This record gives sequence, C-alpha cells and structure tokens, in this order.
Amino acid sequence: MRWITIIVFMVISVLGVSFLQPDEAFKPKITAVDDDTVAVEIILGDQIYLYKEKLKIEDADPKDGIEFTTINTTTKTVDHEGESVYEENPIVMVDLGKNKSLSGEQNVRVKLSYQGCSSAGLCYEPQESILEMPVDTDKLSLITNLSAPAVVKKELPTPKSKSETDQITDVISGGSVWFIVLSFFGFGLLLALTPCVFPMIPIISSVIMAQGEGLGAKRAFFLSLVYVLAMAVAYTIAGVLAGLFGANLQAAFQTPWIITVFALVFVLLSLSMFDVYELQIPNFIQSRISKLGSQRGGVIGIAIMGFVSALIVGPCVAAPLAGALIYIGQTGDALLGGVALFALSIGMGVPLLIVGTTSGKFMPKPGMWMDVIKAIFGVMLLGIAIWMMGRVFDENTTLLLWGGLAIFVAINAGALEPLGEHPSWSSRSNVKALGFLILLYGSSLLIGGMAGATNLLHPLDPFLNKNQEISPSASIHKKFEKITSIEELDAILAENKGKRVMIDFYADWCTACKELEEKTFSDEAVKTAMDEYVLVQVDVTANDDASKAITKKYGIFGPPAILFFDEKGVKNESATIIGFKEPNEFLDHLGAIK
Amino acid sequence: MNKIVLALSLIASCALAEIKWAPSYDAALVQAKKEKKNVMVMLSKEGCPACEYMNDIVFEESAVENEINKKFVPVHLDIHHDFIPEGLGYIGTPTFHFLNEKGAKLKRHDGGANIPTFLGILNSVKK
Repeated sequence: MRWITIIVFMVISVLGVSFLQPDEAFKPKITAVDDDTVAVEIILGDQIYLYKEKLKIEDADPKDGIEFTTINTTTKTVDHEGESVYEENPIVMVDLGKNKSLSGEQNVRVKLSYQGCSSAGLCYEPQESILEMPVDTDKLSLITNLSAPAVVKKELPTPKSKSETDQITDVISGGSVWFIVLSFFGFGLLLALTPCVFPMIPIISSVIMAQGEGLGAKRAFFLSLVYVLAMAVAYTIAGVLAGLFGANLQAAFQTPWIITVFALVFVLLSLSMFDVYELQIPNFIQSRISKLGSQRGGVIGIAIMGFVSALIVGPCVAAPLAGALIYIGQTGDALLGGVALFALSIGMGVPLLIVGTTSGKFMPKPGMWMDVIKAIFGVMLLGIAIWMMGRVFDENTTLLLWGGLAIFVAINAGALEPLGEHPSWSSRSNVKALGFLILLYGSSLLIGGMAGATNLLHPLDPFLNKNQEISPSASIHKKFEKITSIEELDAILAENKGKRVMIDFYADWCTACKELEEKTFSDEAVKTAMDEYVLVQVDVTANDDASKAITKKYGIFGPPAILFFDEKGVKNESATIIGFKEPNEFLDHLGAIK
Repeated sequence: MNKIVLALSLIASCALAEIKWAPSYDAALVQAKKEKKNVMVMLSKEGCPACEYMNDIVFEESAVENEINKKFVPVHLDIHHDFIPEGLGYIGTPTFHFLNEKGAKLKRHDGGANIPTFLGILNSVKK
C-alpha cells in the first residue's frame, strides 16, 4: 500500500515545485521618505525569507560627497532555526547628509547585499544590487565632523527568543553543576556526623599516633589530609564509574520494573537508617585494619589506609552513598559523578581532618542527635524512592505517597506528643511545631489526593470550584488528534484558544517519525510533559495537494517536524523541532519553551 | 513484537544503508562509467536549512539510500568550496543534477524535497 501511494505521488511530483528566480524572489526598491531620508525595501516573493545578518547596506560611491548618517530598520525578525530572519519585507531607512558643499540634484547610490531562502526548500546565493535615487543636495545638511565614521548602524532590539543551542550553553555555564557539587559537600558533612563514620576515627587517630608522640599540628594536619584525600580518591572512582555505567543505564531507567526494583532497594536501604537492621562491616575486620594502620607509617601508608578505609566504611555509609551513586548514574555524566563524589568525600573528611589535626581532642560526642541525622537520611531515601516511582505511578498516586511520608515524618518528629516538662521555645517545642506543620501538609496531601489532586503545591485544588482537569491521566496520554488538512488544523486551533497546542507532522514513509513515536512519545516522562498540550498529528502520508498546502503554510519541507502554538494560537517560531529527538532532548526542549 | 521489528529495521537501516558519496566529481564520473550508473550531483552550501533537511532526514531514509546506491553514483559539491563544473547551473541550494556516465545532463531539480517526492525524482531519471 505504501508503495502504491509513493508511486502515485511520484507522478505528481514529477511536475515538481518551481522556485522563483532570484530576481522574482527579491525585488529591491528605493523610495524617498523626505528631503534627506530614503527608504530601501526588499519585496520578498511568496515563501521567501531573508537572513538579518546578511542584509547589508553600503554607500556605493563613498567619495561622491553624500554620506549615510544613520541606517535604521524597524522590521521585525523571527527566529528560524537559530537565525533571525525577515519574513516580511524589510524596510531600511537611510538618513543622508553631505560632507562637502554640493548643490543641485545628484543621484545617491546605495549598494545592497542580501541572502535568503525559500521555505519551500531552496537557499539562494548572496545577491547584490545597486539602487539609485536622485536627491536635492541643497536640502542635505552638511556634516562637519569628517574624521568620525559617519555611519551609525542603529537597530531597534527585535524580540527574539533563544534558540536551542543558546540554551544548552546557558545550562552548561549556569550554576546547576555548582549546586550539585555544593549539595554533595553538604551531604558529605552530614554523613560524617552519622555513626557510620565513627569506625574511621580510631583508624585515623591510630595512624597518626603511630607517627610518634609530639607530632606538630601542621604535620598532623598534613597526614590527615593525605588520609582524607586518599579516601576521596576511592569515592571519586566510584562516582566516575557510576557516571559511566549510568550512561548506559539511563535507558533502563525508563522501564517501569527497573524503576520499581530500584525504588524497593531504596526503601530497604532506608530501613537500615531506621535501625530495622544494621549494615556494618564485621568488627574483627575493622579492628584488624586499625591495627594494621598503627604498624604502617609514612605518607604512602596513610594514603593506602585512607583508600582502604573508604572501602570498609563503605557498607555502613552504603545506603546514602548508594543513593548518591544512583543519582549520579541517572545523569550519565562521568565527570560530574567524579566531581560530586569528590565533594561528598571532602565533606565527609572535614570532621576527620579536625579529629586528626587535634589528635582527637575534638571529637563529636555520640548521642541522640546522631540518630536524628540517620533518620533524616532514611527519610531522604524514602523520598528518592517515591520520586522514582513518580515515573511509574500517575501523579495522584505519587501525591498520596508523599502525603504518607509527610505524616510518617511528622509523627516521628513528635507532632502529636505532649510537650510535658519542656518549656516554651525549647528545641523540643520548635521541633513539635515543625512536625505539626508537616502533619498538616501531609494530611492535606492525603485528603486532596483522595479527591484526585495531582499538584503537590496545590493539593486542595479538587475542592476549589476551578474544577480543572482532574484527569484520569493515563488514558489521554499520547492521543493525537489525526488530521490531514489546513481547514481541520485551523478548526482545532480556534477551538483550543487558551491551551497550548503541539503539532506533529507525520507520514508513514518517514522512519524518523516512527522513531519519534516509538521512542520519544511513548516515554513515560515525555507522556506526562505532553499532557500540557493539545496534541495534533498532521498526517502527510498522502503527499497530495492538501499535504503540500499544509507543509507550505507552516514553512517546513516535510516530516518529521513538531510545531508549538501558545495559548493565543500563535506559533512559537523558535520552538520548532525538525527531525528526531531523543526523549531526554525532547523533554529538555519542552521544559525550555514553557 | 511490533517494537522489536521496528527496532530491528531501524538498526538495519542505520547499519546497512548509507549513501556512498563519491570523493569528487571526477571520481564520480569514472565510477559511473565502470558501474554503468548515472551520476547524482548535489550542490549545497553551509547554512542552508533545506540542504540540512536533505542530509538529516531524506538521505537517512533507507528507501532513499537504497535507491541512490542502486542507481546512482552520488557526489556532493559545496558551491563555495568546490569547483563547480560548467553547465551545472543553480539559482540556489540544494540543486540536484542528474548526469549520465558521460557527464551529459539528464535532469535538474531545484530545491529540497520530502522523501516520496525525492524518490519520485530519483525514479524519473531515465536509465
């Protein structure tokens, strides 16, 4: 069937599209505006656009005494695949003056160069033309300042949104990497305050003691630093590995059952943080290592100790560390993974540095607070598990889970415990207040969630009269309204004023389109993001007049192409996608055009 | 099942068919004589969205790739960087010239085209 279609339209296509000759595509024109201003206009043919960058106006006769004082255009440009282009006839105002005494009528000669394309699929060669226009030189004002370059190119800023590549550079140069590094550092500091890192303290003190009595603080600091850095190297390697493996795992993380398995791992890990079971290296290994450390001296010995002890405390720090590694794995970025884990281990190392340098004079006293930090980690792990399941469950179920977690936290923070002997403004009463707030939020999540809420920030939306789409979301995913003509599309656009519309140009003969459907549109995260749009698919399989008319109207050569329309029904020029996009690229794109 | 078939065909189309561009115009003519094929010259330049569409979408399509590899010796010329033989005119890019093995012109097509249209153009060139 597909071949019959193609054969039928082969015949049609032999007739082909005829393109305008360059002199029909661009018709430059010069007119007088007033005594000392001329307007240069380029009349563009059907479907022709002109690159802003390539439009240049120069004085063809710089020595004729007539000067261009300002060159100015107010014609609006639109973004066309990252380039500013004129889609309407550009008009450029040129103000004239004279730099020597002239009188009588004289021709002003303007050299115009420009370059453009037809959106039907042809890019013209750069064009040049000379325009002439008689002016009355008596009416031109004399410019006295001869040394200054006369031409000032002034252009009104044209509203233009950033193209995709600009935004990518923005993200790279932006602060998000620093944010990750800082959070990991903080995370490391917190980890150091859990009972987990305690086994390291005897190790480091014994290592440093072994260097002999009366060790100077400087030397002690240096040795502790070596120890901490060696430990950091071990974690950095783990981070890089996670980044590398993660790159391949990323695709796997789109599969519901894998996400579920990982979420379960997180729940299990969190249980160890709540002391349901203990994840720790057997004591005899710990003591052996610390004995070994006291026998071995020297910087290298200490470095080895640092590296090894990273591995032994590993299992104890395992739960939060595994969380960090899985997070890094998801980014699929080995460099980021290394840097983040390095920051984490330096964070972990700071208390060790203090202990080492002061030969154990400063030692955090174990107590209740350490268990609190452990519990915080446990809650974070549960949070990650819920966040991951957010890709499997619909938004409503996820919201209910968050509500459950919040209530769980609140009760454990003692939100409903009597204050008893505790005075006002004690830390206990503050914690209770905080717990109470969390309890209220958690309850509203649960109550709103049961009524179908999906928005974590507005859980009570279902009870407001707004009555927004409390959609049974799963069923409307990926349902494109299929159309084939301009009339149908116009009707849909008119009907959906106030909603954003995404239009996918599709054809059976287009492999890249099928790839988009199978890989990108069926991705769970993409499905969710696409819920915000009215989805329309223009099927141009027939490649007939209707197909040609609609591709022509929207200035695309053919499928695959995805166009976006805003709430007012206006096409977002810079958002157009041509060709295949991976799910993550597509998601980034959707995020960028919000 | 459908997905597997699709995935396989995608992999196959990526792995097997790739347009074998001749290194130069002269080499294309020599090769065409040897293989008794016609020559397809694509004139393009940088910063030409229609050329990019042809390269990224149309020439990635296995049907197009197969058709070109079967019947033509394709060669790519950049109108700003390569020597353009006399007679291969253009008003813009992309422009396609179809020549027989002796270099005589058979057909010219101005501008880009979508997949079925381009297949039609390829098919309309007489053997």
